[in-house]
Amino acid sequence: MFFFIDQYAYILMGISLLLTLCGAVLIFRKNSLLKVKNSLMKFSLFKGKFLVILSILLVLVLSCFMVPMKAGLRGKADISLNYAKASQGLNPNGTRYNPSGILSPEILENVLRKGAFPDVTIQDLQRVLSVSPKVQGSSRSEDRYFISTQFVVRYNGNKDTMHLNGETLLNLTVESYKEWFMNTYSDNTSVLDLSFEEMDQEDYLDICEYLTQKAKLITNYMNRMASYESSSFRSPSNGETFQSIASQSTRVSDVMVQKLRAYLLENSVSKSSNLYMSRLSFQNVFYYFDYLKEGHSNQNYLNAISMYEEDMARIVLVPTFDKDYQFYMSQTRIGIDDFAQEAEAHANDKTSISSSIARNDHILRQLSMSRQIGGTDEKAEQLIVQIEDALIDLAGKAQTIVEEYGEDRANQYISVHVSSQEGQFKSNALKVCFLTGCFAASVYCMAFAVFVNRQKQEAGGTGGKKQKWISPEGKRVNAT
Amino acid sequence: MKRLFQSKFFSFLLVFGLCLSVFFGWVSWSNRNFVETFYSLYSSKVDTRVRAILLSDLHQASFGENNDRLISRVGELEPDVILIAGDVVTKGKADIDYAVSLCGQLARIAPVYFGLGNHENSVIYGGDLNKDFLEENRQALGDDPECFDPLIQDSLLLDGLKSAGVTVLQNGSAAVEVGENRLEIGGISTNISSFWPYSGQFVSGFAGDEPGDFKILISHRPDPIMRYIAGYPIDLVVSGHGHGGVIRIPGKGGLLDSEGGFFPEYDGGRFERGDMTLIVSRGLGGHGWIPRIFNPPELVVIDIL
Repeated sequence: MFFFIDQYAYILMGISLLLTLCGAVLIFRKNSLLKVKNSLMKFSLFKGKFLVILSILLVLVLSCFMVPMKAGLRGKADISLNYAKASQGLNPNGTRYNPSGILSPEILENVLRKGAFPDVTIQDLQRVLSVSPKVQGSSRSEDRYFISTQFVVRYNGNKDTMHLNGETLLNLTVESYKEWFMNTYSDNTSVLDLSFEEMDQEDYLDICEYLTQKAKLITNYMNRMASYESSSFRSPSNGETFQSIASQSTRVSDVMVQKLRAYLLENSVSKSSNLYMSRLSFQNVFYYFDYLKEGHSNQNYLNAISMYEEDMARIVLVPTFDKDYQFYMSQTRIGIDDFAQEAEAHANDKTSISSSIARNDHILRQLSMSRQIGGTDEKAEQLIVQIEDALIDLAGKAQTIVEEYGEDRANQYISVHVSSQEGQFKSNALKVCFLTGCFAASVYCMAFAVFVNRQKQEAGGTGGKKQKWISPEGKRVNAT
Repeated sequence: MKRLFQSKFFSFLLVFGLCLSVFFGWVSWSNRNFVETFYSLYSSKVDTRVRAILLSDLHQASFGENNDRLISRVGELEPDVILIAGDVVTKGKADIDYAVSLCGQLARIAPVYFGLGNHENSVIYGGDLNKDFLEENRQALGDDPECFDPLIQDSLLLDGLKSAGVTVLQNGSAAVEVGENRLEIGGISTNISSFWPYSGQFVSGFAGDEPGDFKILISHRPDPIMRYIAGYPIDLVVSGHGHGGVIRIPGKGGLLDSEGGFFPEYDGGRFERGDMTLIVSRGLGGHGWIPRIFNPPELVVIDIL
């Protein structure tokens, strides 16, 4: 059956050609051109016209079924990559784009699962589906290099898949690929899954640090999205933008966490003040060593500068070319600049360590006034829960907006289009007309050959036997 | 008589009859076999894939004995929810057992949500829920014009469906948990004339509540949705009613409008308005004397990703 559907057009064309050839041979074998012309005038009297018309109609009806069935065994779908890096042959994350991934076993397995196709395997699908660039470049010359961003998936059915609808199969294939592509290249928001379980054992001031870090994580994520992706995108579900969430997160760390810290220090609250104080004292010892080290390093560089300042060149100009190959003199860094920069860096570090020591000293002073030996503080716990809730709410909003943005963007990354069978109506109708026309012409040719030869036989007579004869005027007469 | 059989007229009549028989034989065959149309929707409101199967306008059609072919195929496709967009029965010759048996079998595969069609309304309320009918019965409706329970004349179908485990949605909604996803499914069956005030308030509330849930509205007719609430925050609307225009002109679409016109706008397929997606099924059956031509019955499979 598959062979008949697949080869129907060729079979019919072959039959048409054979009939035409046989007809032509029969007509011109023993008949002069004049005789053929005369017979042509009388062809309207041919008795078997009904059979001819019937056969043509049957072929027309058969073609009306066979041509669309054959068309159902063929199909194509377009996949377009719409992101900037696609023109460089790259995925959105910068890795090499591989079009053969469209028909990877993972995708085809998903197609089979989605379509619940009976008796079809991944290998069957691999045999009938193919992918190629829509516009093919060439490596022969640089001018003909072309990185395609559009690909065509073709379905060429065989007997194993003829029971499947080609349009459905292609639709499922390109949609499965789109789904995979969107899942693979959408933003990973797992970093925003906040968990506060691990800070339960920490002291309150450590919890402050932890909460500040979590708030900064959200702020940085949102600022990065606003800077590198879109500053204007607004979440359809909660109306937030990346920047608005970033500023809310900053408010949590700058206001709510600072309020908690102030409460803790003002009231000398700690879960275990002795332990915490000894840890800070120990930390300060190391800070002090670092402070001394940074101070000495800073001084060394300052000494070096004062020693060599008079002897070293202030400016060094190096002849060079710019990107337009224009000559210019470039001013370059010299050793003395390096010394100054290093001295400044060490001075900054020294100041920073000094500030840490001062902060630790302040905490030590405050905690030393604590009358409470340890345990939890109700108000501190309350404030922590408030901050946690605020951060969870913000993280949720951040995840939503990132997912919505990712969905919006990934939807634009890739677009797919399947040519519908209904849209192939015109080409199918033309094929049916052409095939039926060819067949009709050949059948008429054969019928005419039969007519010519029958006329010849009848004109030749059969030894006085009574025969029906068709006169040139088209009337039946009896002849002996 | 012999002359008649030998005449050209008879020959052509024979040929014409033969072609017509072949054509209608094919039409009859194609009306007994359904095709599947797959749609994919992308939404951040779902975490894992949800598959919904939409059946509409069966009009008591049978695909195999006791709808075996239809049921087994639906089972193979492994839906998470089954949506029925009305007109499972045909008014005037309603076969309640057919509807209950079909829905009962479907309910064993996945939860079934049934939005009533104009034919079910005629069976249950004694008339389609158009403005004239509802205005006539305004007093019976009392304070709540969106609750049609006082108008029920024959509850056999409703009771049967409920006993089969089907959730019937008439200006109502139900929350569904599918894996980690939460869907909100609502249903209406009013038409353009009666949408306000007999369904509009419910739809507004449905669209506004629980913005994080994925919302599906079953509306037997697509027209009131597209006229009055296109672009509302409803993620998916599923409809039927038009039977795909009954006769499909290839390259042009459906020919006949259910309201008596030609070339209906929403004859089948997918339509987008803002964030709202409307999927109109071409239906699985038909009624009346015009057969479905170039319009095979359609089973719609919607993957929400």
